[in-house]
Amino acid sequence: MTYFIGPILSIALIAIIVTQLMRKRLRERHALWWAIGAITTLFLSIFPGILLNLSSWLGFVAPLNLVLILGLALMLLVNLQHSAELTDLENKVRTLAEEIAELKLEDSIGKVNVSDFPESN
Amino acid sequence: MAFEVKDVLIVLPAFNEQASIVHTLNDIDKNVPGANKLVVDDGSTDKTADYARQAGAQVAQLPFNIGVGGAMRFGFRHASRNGYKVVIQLDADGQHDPAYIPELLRNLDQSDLVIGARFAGEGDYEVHGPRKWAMGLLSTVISRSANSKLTDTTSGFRASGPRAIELFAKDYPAEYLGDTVESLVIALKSGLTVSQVPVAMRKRIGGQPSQNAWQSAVFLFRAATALIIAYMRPTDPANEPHGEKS
Repeated sequence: MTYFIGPILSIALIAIIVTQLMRKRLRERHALWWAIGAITTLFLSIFPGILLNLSSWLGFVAPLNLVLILGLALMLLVNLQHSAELTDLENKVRTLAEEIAELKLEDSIGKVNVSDFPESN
Repeated sequence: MAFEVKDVLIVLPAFNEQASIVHTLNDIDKNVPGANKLVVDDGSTDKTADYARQAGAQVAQLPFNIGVGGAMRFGFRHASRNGYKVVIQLDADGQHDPAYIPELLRNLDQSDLVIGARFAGEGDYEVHGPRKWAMGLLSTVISRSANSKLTDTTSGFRASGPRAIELFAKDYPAEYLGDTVESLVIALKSGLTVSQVPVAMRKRIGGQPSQNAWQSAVFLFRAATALIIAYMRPTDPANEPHGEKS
């Protein structure tokens, strides 16, 4: 029975990623690393022999350690990517805030009339 | 004076400074009659903007607090778009004495950026411990690349000439110490000249100074990090020294 838990969980994860992508709740560039993780897990859970060979070849005493390290590395990478994207977003928000202040200031001194823009009608 | 008063924009970044803003603006009028004053209200929740308008300043309101760096980049952009040749940055809390503005302006004849420096003989402003080491480190490193003695790299009292305005309108960091230390490094890497004028600091009218041992140690660490990162960052090719702008 335990043999099926790994594949079932991996397939569930892949299904969640695909549905989120379809609903546009997840952009593909954010999904990439999660998809790589899910497919690797699926692969290794169906063919555990590969994991055993790989871990002993790399010198791991317990194959599970290799899984844990790979998982941790994946989490770190995704987290780092999120921090980078957050910085990017903060910069964009900052620029927008400055532009809004400029528009309001110009509006108050009558240079540009914000109500002239067709969008605001 | 090489620059006329109408070419000068005095930019005051302000965050909840209702206690001091009117006094500071009046003080500017006394020392530099007819100067254009722009208060950049950085998301204040008090009456800073109303008071500043009543005191005769132009007021730009940022929709939320984005820090001195953001407020100042806004000031430089506004100056650049409206053809100002000089931007004077002055704190709204009354620490910076507008009486030094003419002196800063005079020095813009030789430099692109002039800093009003606190540890250059004038006044009795002093710091101790890690904060002093941090300021010493910043001063030593930046003075070396500026080829000119700069004793106070974290001063927020500065005058920027036309070349500095164009540069800072594009690139003015919003990070911690970005508005002071990193902006200096950016200016130097882009081939701008920087000098200083000794100034005395006054007591703040409102607000609390932040000084304790732990905060100073953190300041030392963050200052060193900011400095290293600032020098490691690549220069925007458009701002390379001697590179002609299209």
